[in-house]
Amino acid sequence: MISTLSATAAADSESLCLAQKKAFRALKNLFRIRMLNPGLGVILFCLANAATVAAQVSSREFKWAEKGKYDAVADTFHSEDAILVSKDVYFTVEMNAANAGKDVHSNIFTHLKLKILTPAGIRTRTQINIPNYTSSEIRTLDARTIKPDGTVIDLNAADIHEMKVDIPNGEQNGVQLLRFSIPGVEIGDEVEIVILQTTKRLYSYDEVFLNDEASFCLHSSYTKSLPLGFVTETKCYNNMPRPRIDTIKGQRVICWRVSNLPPKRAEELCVPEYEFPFMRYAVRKIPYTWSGTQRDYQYDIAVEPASWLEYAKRLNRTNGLNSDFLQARITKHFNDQFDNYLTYSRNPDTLQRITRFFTYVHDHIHVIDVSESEYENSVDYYLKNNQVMESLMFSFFDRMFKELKLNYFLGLAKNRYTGEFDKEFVTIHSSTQEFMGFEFKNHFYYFFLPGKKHIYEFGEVPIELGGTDAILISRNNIESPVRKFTFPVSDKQRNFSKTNVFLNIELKKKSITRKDRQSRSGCVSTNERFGLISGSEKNEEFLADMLRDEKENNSGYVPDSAKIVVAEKTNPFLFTTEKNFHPKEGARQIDNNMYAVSVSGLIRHTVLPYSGGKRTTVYYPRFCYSDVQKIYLVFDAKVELMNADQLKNAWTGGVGTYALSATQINETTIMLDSNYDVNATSVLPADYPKIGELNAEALKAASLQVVVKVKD
Amino acid sequence: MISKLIYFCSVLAATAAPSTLFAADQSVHYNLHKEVITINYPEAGYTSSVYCRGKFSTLENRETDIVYTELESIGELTARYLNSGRKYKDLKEENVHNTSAMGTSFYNGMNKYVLSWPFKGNPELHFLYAYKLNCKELMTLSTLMINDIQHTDTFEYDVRVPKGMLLYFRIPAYAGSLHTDSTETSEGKIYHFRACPSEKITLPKELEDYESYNYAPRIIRLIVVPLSYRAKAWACLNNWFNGTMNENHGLNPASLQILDAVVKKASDPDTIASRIFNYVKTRTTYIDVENGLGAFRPRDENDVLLKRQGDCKDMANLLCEALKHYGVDAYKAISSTLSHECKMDFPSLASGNHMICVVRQRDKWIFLDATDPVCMYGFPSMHIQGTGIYRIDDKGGEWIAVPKVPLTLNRSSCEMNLVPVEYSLAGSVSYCWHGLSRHDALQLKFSESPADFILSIHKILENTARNTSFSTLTETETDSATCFKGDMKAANKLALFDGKHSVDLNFLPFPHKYPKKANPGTRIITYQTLDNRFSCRISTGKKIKLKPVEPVSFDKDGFRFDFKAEQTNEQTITVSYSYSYNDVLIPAEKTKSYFELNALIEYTLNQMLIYTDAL
Repeated sequence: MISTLSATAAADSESLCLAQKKAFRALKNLFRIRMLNPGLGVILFCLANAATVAAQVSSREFKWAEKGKYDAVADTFHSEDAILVSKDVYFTVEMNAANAGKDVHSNIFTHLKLKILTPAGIRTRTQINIPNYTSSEIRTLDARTIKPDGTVIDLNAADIHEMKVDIPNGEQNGVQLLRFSIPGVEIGDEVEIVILQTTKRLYSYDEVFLNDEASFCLHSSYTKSLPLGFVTETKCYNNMPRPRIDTIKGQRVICWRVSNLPPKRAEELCVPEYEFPFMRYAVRKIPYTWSGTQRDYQYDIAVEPASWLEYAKRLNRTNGLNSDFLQARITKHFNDQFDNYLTYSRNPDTLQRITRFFTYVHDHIHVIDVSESEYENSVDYYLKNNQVMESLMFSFFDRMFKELKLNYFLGLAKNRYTGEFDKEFVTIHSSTQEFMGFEFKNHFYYFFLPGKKHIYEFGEVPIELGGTDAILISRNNIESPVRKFTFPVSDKQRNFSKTNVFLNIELKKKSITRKDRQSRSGCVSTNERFGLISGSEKNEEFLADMLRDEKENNSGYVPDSAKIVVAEKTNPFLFTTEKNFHPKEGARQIDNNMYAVSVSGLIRHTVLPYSGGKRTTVYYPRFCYSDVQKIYLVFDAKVELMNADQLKNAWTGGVGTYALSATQINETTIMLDSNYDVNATSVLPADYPKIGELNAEALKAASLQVVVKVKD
Repeated sequence: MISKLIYFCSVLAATAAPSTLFAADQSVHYNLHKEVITINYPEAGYTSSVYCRGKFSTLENRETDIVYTELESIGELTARYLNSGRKYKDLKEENVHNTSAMGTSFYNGMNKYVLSWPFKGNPELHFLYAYKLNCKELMTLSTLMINDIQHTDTFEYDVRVPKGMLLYFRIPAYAGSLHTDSTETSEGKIYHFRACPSEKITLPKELEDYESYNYAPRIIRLIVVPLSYRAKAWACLNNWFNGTMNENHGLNPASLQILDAVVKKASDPDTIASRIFNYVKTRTTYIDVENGLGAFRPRDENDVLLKRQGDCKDMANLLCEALKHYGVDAYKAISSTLSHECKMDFPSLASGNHMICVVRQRDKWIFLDATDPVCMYGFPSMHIQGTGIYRIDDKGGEWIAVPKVPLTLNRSSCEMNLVPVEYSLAGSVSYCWHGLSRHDALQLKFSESPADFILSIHKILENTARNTSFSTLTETETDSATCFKGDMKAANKLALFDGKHSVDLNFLPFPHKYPKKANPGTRIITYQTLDNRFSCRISTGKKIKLKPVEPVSFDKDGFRFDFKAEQTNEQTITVSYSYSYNDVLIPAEKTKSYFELNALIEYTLNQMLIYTDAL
């Protein structure tokens, strides 16, 4: 169920509970004190309980209520590692009236009360890391332990360790990290943590779950307070309750409260947006008095676009690059390198030109992780070496369409593991992936820009987008309404892996030689193809990895060589490899004329991820597929298969099927046929163990031995 | 380049390979690492002028780090690179930033300067940098690096020791050329060290594999002492710990109240020691805070007791102070864990990486390592057994050998009673783990919820017993053993052909959990002596005749394996095998035998038994 809530300055005035009002008044007072007295040390206030916050006399550290309030919880929770007794988040956007429009800041106050129930709870929930990105400041941080008798052990400020960390790939250096361990915690104790963060950022969009990531939460609240005059849009999903709304001293205060929330555990392949109540909000407009700032570029993008038209207009303005210098260099490079490529093709039609251009860029241009300023510094070197930063890809293809004078669309798509694309709720955060599309001869074509992380062929749908909805924004006629587009579902016929293993078994020489041929197609082949876009050097690395993986497999066969036989660039993107192995010791003689050949390590299906245990959310396999493995045992003598019955299996469990059979093809050849098929697009929590059963059936086959009798 | 300070700490950090190995970046290669180290006398501390020269050969990870601790400061940093015109150019200030150097500790207070080298021009970039490192604490001058993951060509050190001070050093068995000499000057003596390593340090692929990587020697250990400690360097180290690093806080009334409740008026020293030890090891969360001298100096024992958190030295100190209060003869001791790259055989701060408490009882030493929550009173922890410790006291201390827990106490047994069910074998199974063989189970029990604990045990058993499923597992625990009973099923292990039955033995558990394959030169730490026994009884339910099976026996380099499969009565086949090794680590020179035996076991446990119905 979805409910929407649009708020303006003249919004309704539902009354807020008294405690809530007090809390916000107190918070406001505190922040005012802080702003008027920049020299004041640490802000202090006292928490009598989760909902009541009152200002206190200043001292060096956070001051708690004199005695801790210990809460009893039901025995039903005692198998959990920890539960959250309460989680309250207060989000306040404020401005300094004396300097309207310039001094805006957001305060995020979080108060958690957690009960520890197992040793694992102590281990996982009491060692805390709080990263603080440079755009925000942690003004208050405190924690304490409450014993069942109400006595408390406080965290000393000296035990909060401050570190600086660099985020990989040069994204941000020197991010503050506060690390501490809550003192004196034993099983049954409660721990309380408060954090007050303040930032100059507006936070114009957020998606809010009231659940805790790891623990069951008895009471959770989220309160948002914005100055009157802000225009916001809020939308609730999955029965998220409507909030209480009130106006307190020029602030509009909206509060959501929910009880008994299951943990929003990061269970593999789940979609939290389908499972739990949540809400999205967007700040659409800031007050008139801020109009001076609003014209400022930063603020312009800080508020969310009110419509897709506005979104498209903004996009036209930035066009992917902030630097005019870079834009000019890219244009020159395009003219020098690609123009010829597009123009002097031998009479190809537009579609061929585009696919050829795409293939050229896909295969020859390498996306690297550098900042825009760093790239700008050495742009000629990078371009000479066919290296671009990811955002330049957009410019390349934008330029291509312009050269071809072809209308094109920017597509906004959303990874299905982050919920559905809500076309009605416009925000620059709607999509997780962007793509380009165009119409040609009544057909719609699309492609994803080659990037560091996704390297899809022309027309290929990324795995996580199969069957999802996207929208298309015209780049040439931005006034035209956005169009909806649905990606095709990736089917089993297209997604397959076929492996043939040939074993030449020489009984007299006691030797086995092995040769494999494996074909993968569609989504199944994506991972393999990722390694291959950058030319032969990467191919060698890929093959070396493949050999290493085979070496570590417990089959006992030592790989000798590998090669890529087929690497198709069109649907279904077939990818085939061949491997050869060193001869290994032969079949084991188990009786006079009886031999056993182990197939251990030869049957290796790509199985669905399964970690066991209790599951609470629906499981969405990434795609349906079929994994067929055939093992041909070719003997140097006439043989008879003796244990065909043992080598037979047929398992069906809704999620998928597993089948195994052994057949004597001719007098010297036996074939083992092992099929692992995934049919389900979703698996309910109750059926989750069936994935384990399916995998177990496939695993069992991996240890079999084929017994043959040599005929006279 | 890493700091000279090898962190003295904790079992958890210590069992991991030196963290710098993992942080190291292999895209950079150093030609030269040179240091001139001047001992400040009579002031404390030392100054090191460092010069490094190297090159990058790829465009990835163009950064170098200068790591330093809270005891150290970096000054006079200059960094230059060779530009495309073959001229040296200064690295811009904006390309140098300061950040924390994260390690395996909860907090280590270490920082680093990160030098970000430009990408311009050729992927190959030559660079050099120099800086001055000042350190306030002379004792931390404990290592000179002579090999590293960047495969530095040459290390050069000049250590200037003034008159009034002495330098002792220990050179490891070293692959490469290592030259040492000294020059007398009017101010004292200059020691010269020049090393060109030929053996490369190879890294484990995963952090989890740290126990099996190539330990190419990488440090010279040293200690600088005043003249008064001539030939008494151990005493100098002892006195440093006993004096500088020993802040006597005294147990306060609140702590004594807790401890009195733990001791429960016991008067026997053994009972007191075991009660306090069990309390500290099970009620203290391991948190290693090791910044500056905090890496060596225990925190206030009252704080550790109240907050229930600390690292090895904190727990050792708490134990020691508590036991002394109740009249038990207790001391702190420095130790080197099995995974540490040095032994506790030279009086350098780098030799040890751990601290424990030792108790003298009836002329015997009892080793109390509270960082291991499953360490049994009366036995050394798995991390320090078979090593040596240095006991700290006010008389110069003493070196004590730590015994290994004998294999008879570590016995692990597995009994399976199975019957044929169609093509499968099914029945009951019981595992019983004694001594250190129960360590993994106890560790899981200590750290996981009951449901997760049983789930984890299932996974462990299913990983060792191949292609077998377990159900209804229940646990029983006694003082000396942890046992599990349940049902098992090994699917598709039986076949009938030509009137003959076959039993595929490839479901039987491999008799140890250590790597079956590894790179040559690798050493493997087992952390326990091994006495693992397995027995599988297959009751066919009818009279049978088993085709005789050759027994298998292996006895080499301390490894012993015995296997036999026989008909024990008219209807029953019994397969029994055992694996023993009476040491806690497998040195590189024994790995050949170890891998040879692994292959033999693999072959043996993959055979098929054949039996026929008896007439």
